[in-house]
Amino acid sequence: MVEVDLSQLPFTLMDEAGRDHVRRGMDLAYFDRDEIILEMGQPGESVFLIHKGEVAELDPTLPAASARIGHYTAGDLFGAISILNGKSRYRFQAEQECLCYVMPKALFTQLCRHYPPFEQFFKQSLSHKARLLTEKRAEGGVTMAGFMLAKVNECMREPLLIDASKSIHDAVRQLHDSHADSLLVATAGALGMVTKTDLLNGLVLGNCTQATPVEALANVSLVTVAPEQYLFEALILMTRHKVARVVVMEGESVKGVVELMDVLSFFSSRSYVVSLQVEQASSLEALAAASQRTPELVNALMAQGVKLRFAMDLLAALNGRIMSKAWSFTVPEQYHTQSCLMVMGSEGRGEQILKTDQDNGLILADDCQWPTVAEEMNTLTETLIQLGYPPCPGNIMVSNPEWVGTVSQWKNNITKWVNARDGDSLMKLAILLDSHGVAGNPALLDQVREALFERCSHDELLLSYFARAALRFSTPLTLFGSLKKPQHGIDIKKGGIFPIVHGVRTMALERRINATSTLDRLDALAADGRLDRRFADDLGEALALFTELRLRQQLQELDNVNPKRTNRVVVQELSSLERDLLREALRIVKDFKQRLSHRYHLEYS
Amino acid sequence: MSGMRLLDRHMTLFSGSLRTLLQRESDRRRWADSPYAWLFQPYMGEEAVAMACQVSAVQPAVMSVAAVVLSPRQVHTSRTWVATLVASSALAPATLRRHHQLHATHSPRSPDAECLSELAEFIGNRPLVGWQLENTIEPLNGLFRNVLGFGLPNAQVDIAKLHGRQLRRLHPHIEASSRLGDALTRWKLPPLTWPSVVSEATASALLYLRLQREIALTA
Repeated sequence: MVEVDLSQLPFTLMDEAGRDHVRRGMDLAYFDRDEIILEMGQPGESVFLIHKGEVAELDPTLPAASARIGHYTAGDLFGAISILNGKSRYRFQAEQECLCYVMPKALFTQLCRHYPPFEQFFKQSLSHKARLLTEKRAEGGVTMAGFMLAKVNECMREPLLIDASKSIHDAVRQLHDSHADSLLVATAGALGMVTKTDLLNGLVLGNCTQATPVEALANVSLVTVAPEQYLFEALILMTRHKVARVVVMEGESVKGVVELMDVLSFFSSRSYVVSLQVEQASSLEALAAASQRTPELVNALMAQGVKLRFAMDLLAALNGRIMSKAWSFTVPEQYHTQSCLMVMGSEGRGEQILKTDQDNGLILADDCQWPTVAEEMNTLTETLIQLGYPPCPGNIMVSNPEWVGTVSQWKNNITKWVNARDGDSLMKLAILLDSHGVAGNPALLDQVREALFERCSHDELLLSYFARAALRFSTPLTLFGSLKKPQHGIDIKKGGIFPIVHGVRTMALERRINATSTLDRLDALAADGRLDRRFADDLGEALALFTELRLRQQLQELDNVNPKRTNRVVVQELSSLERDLLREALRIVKDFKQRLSHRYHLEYS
Repeated sequence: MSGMRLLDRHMTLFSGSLRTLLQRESDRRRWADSPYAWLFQPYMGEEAVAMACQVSAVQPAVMSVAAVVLSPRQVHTSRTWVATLVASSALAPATLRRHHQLHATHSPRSPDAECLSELAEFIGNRPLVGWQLENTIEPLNGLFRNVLGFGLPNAQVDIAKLHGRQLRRLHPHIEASSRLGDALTRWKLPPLTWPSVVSEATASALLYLRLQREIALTA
């Protein structure tokens, strides 16, 4: 009759004997509508696995409308945490008539003793659960392994070494014999690289003869990766450094060479060629065509279950390259060293996956003479709009003279904003804090940032004002599952993403952390000792989860006829594991907010 | 012994006929000094035991029996007694194999005193419930009488009758089916997926709990 389904997590973490044990040890229980299955504070005596019916998780200390914090349906498991914690945190009440399998506490604890992974499933932090989810998704038939799990050492070529004193003639001969198009040159101190193009340029354009030693042509600034790094990261490096080859080094020794063509053919799906198209674009039209394809790339990456962090890195690198190309098309070259184009907001943090509004600004060197700057910046903004970056509604763009200034003007602005400390100024500070140079001379941005840190990191009062915004939106934990109009969903940006991003930004300001991406900032804060590593990891995973949910929503909306961006996630459409993750993630946000208000004294504000 | 206590003592027995009542009373006296005496005491707890039994039509009889304990809130599927009983395993190997596979029982046991008293101990003096319980109990009682000298003295509830009565009450025009599967669908319970004795006992236990609730609601 009612055979218990043990083919899903966490029961798959046991062997057949364990599952048999479970099958024998389970009882069946019936619960009427509205019957309380497990009361808050009651010691956990059993684990419940729902066979039929629905169970609500309630926090009776809250007013009725907001008491619902969870919802379990057939196949969901509850009560395990109550056993591990000793008593139940919340009240579990049957929403409909329920038929549950009941596993007694003794059996559960015995299973936990015998099967550590089973116990871990319940004790593990959010990051583990998220990993399980990714693995589960990967099993769903998509070829995640091909793309994301490929390591550099699966796709590298044997290194071809040539002595520095050998002639160009010898080099060409060796290239021809080995069907390669680059050689590593062992010079006295370091390694260098020559490519076929280098040799050709040397012979035809340079003043070399066939007898000239290759050393003269070798390029010694090499981009290197470790053999156990992901191939994906190699691709990011190539995009970032505008090279077509990276050298694989293990410690001091050369292991091989990874070529762009090899990487691309390894991935061999057209979507991944976007980065190549961006590099090759020689006109605005070509660049726009490549830029149009980034949503397609995002879709492909998501479908393959690529970890969001890597997807974000790749997209940030791509967006950066697109911007920088657009910049080089519009801005005359003589100004390149005297100015710095910075992107701000989510773009600056490298967390913009689909193209959102362009938030950018320009920093000029103090001694820069550039009379036509306003005109050219207008052109740049127009160009970016053509490339698919919609204009910023808040007008934070280079076409707005307020966001163009010399280094000392920027420093004055910072002082002004810090003194004013009103909402608008704080927002501008936050935007500036996330800025990241994409084109021109990044040293200018570093000067501005240094001034910002100098001015703010010890100003407790400012930090307190600054941090307050993180508490502005309440965590939608309470809205969970019991929204008045469920089809409207919960606002994942206000409830989840913003508090984390802003809180971490505040801490980064306090600790003078240069990184702009939230995940990098979390790493830096953990290394700094400001946050403990576990909590930082949890926050990172929570952020990744929110971003992923939002992204999925946005991709869906992209397919619709009238594209209207919302940040709302409809809880009912999520799977039970995702609901579980979301709830857990929002709890982490709540915890983080408490820490923030403790650290920055926001209790009375 | 006061009248009320006597009434209490025999409360569970009032459901049976006068003949069984007398039979049980005489059994109780006869077995008063044996280790089985407690089986004849009236049960005052809340638990019951759901029984299911399959008997092969061919001779010699192969019988699979399952008993599952239930309390007012739960079906204790972890407390189950199940066995295939046959006089000698050399007999009727085909039927035996069929029972073995179908009901997922362990190796067949011979219905000797040891085995039957184990079952009697398991059931104790708790009331029995089951789908068409008479059909289930009859062959078992035959064995008990042969081997131990008494039939199961427990109070009995036939769920098929309970179901029929409840159904007539709610939908007078619907004819109650005599199949357990139909009754399960009627009360929106998970269907029988595997016709083993254990699942039949569990299903009838669930149905019993469901009907008890229904009766409590309509009463």
